Amino acid sequence: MSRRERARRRQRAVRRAVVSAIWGITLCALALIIIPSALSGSGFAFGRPGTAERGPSDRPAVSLKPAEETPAASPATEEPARTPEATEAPEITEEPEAAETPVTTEAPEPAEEPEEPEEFLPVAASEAVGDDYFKDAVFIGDSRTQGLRLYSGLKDTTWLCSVGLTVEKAYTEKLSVDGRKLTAVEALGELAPGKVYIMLGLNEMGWKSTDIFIEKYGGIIDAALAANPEAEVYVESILPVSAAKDAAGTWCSNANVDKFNARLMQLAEEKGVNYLDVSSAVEGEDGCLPNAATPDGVHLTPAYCTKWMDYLKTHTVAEVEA
Amino acid sequence: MKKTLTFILAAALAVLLLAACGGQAAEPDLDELAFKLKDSTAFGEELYLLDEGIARELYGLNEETKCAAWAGTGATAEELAVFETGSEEDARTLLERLQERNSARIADYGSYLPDEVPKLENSLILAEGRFVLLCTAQDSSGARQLWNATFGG
Repeated sequence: MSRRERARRRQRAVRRAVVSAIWGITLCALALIIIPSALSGSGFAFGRPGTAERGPSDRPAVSLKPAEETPAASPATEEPARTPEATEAPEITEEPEAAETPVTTEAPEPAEEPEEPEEFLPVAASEAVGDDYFKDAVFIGDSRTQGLRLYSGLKDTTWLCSVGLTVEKAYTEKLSVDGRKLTAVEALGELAPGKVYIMLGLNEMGWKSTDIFIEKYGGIIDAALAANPEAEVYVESILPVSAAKDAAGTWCSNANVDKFNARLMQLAEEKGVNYLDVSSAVEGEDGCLPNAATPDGVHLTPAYCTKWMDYLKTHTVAEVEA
Repeated sequence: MKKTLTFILAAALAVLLLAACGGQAAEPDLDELAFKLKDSTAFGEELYLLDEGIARELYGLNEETKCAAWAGTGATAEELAVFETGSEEDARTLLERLQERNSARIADYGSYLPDEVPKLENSLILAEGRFVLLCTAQDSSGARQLWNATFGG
C-alpha cells in the first residue's frame, strides 16, 4: 500500500469519525430536548409559554400513562359519581336540568311570585241570616224583584221596585214609599238603609251601550253610600233567561246577561261594594233558567223566588251571632 | 081577654122581628167568595195565592181588613184580590186607593208590556158593603156575574 493510499484511508476514517460524532451529538441533543418536553406535557410547544398555560393540569396523567390512571377505565370510580344523579332523578320531577344539582330545593315557582292584590270574588257562602237581617234593607229592582217581593215570604222590609224599572227610571219614576211618592234614588237618601240590594239590567240589555248603564248604576251605588257610608251594598247578578228565550236571538240573551254581569262585577269592585252571584242559585247545568223555573223564560215562579231568597240569606257579609 | 091580649102582643113581636131582619142580607164568607171568583174568571197565566201578610203590605191594608189575593210572576198584569174591610167607609177608601194603583200600573205596563194594558183598562174594581173586589184578567165577565149574584146587584 502506498503512502497515498494510507493517507486517503486516514482521511476517510477521520471524516467518518467526524460525521459520526456530529450525528451522535445531534441525536443526543435532540433526545435531551424532546424527552423533557414530552414529560412536561408541553409536547412540541416548547418555547411558547402561552400555550403551555392553557392545558389543564390533570392531562399528563391521562396521556402518558394510559392503562393505570385513567378514571374512565375504572367503572368502579364512576359509580359513586352516578349514584347521586340516579337518586335525584326520581325525586326531582324536572329530570334533565336538575340532575347535576345536589341541592334539591326548587326555588323558582312558588317563592318568586310577586304579591298580587286579592282577586275580587262574589260574596261567599255564610251562615244563614233570619228575616230580621232585612229590616233595614232596601230592594231595588224590576219585575223580577217584584216577584221576589210577592213570593219570597219576606215581610217588614222596603221594596223599591216596579215592573219596568231601569237604572234611568231609578232617578225619575215615583214609587210609593211609606205613603209618599219618591224615586228609588230619593228613597235611598230619605231612608239611609243599612243594606241595599240592587238587581237591574234585564230591561237595559237592549241598550246600545253598557257604559251608560254602568254609569247610572254606579250613581245608584253612590247615592246609597252617600246616604249611609256604612251601608252594605249588594250588586246582584242579572239572572239568566231560559234556553228557549236565549235561542230566540233577541237582545234578551244569556250572552248579554254574561256581558252585563262581567261589567257589574267590575263596577262592584271599583266601588268597593259586594257582588252576589245570584244566578248560581237558579240556573241549570246549561247556564240557562230551567223551564220549570219560569212561565215565560224570564220571570221566576214562586219556588224559584224562594231559592233566590235562600241564596240572599246565605250569602251576606254580616257577622251572625251564633 | 088575657088570651086575646097575649095573642096580639105575640103577633106584634113577630112582626117587629121580621121587619128588623128583612133589611139585612147575609154577608158571604171571604175565602169562599174569593175562590169561587177565581174559578169563574179566565186568566191568561197561572196565578199564585199570596201570603196574606204580603198582600197586606202590597195593597197597603190596615189591620182590620182581611184579604185573599192571587198574582202572577211579573210576566202578566193579571191579579185577583177580594177584601173584607172593617166598615163601608174603609171599603170606599180602599176602592179609591185601588183605582189610583190601577192607573199607575197602566202607566208602568204601557212602556213595559203594552199587551197587558187592555186587561188593566178593563179591571173590575168594585165595592159592596164592606167587601171590595179587584180583578184584572183576560176575561173578567164571570167574576162580574158572580159578584152581582152574591150581592144582589
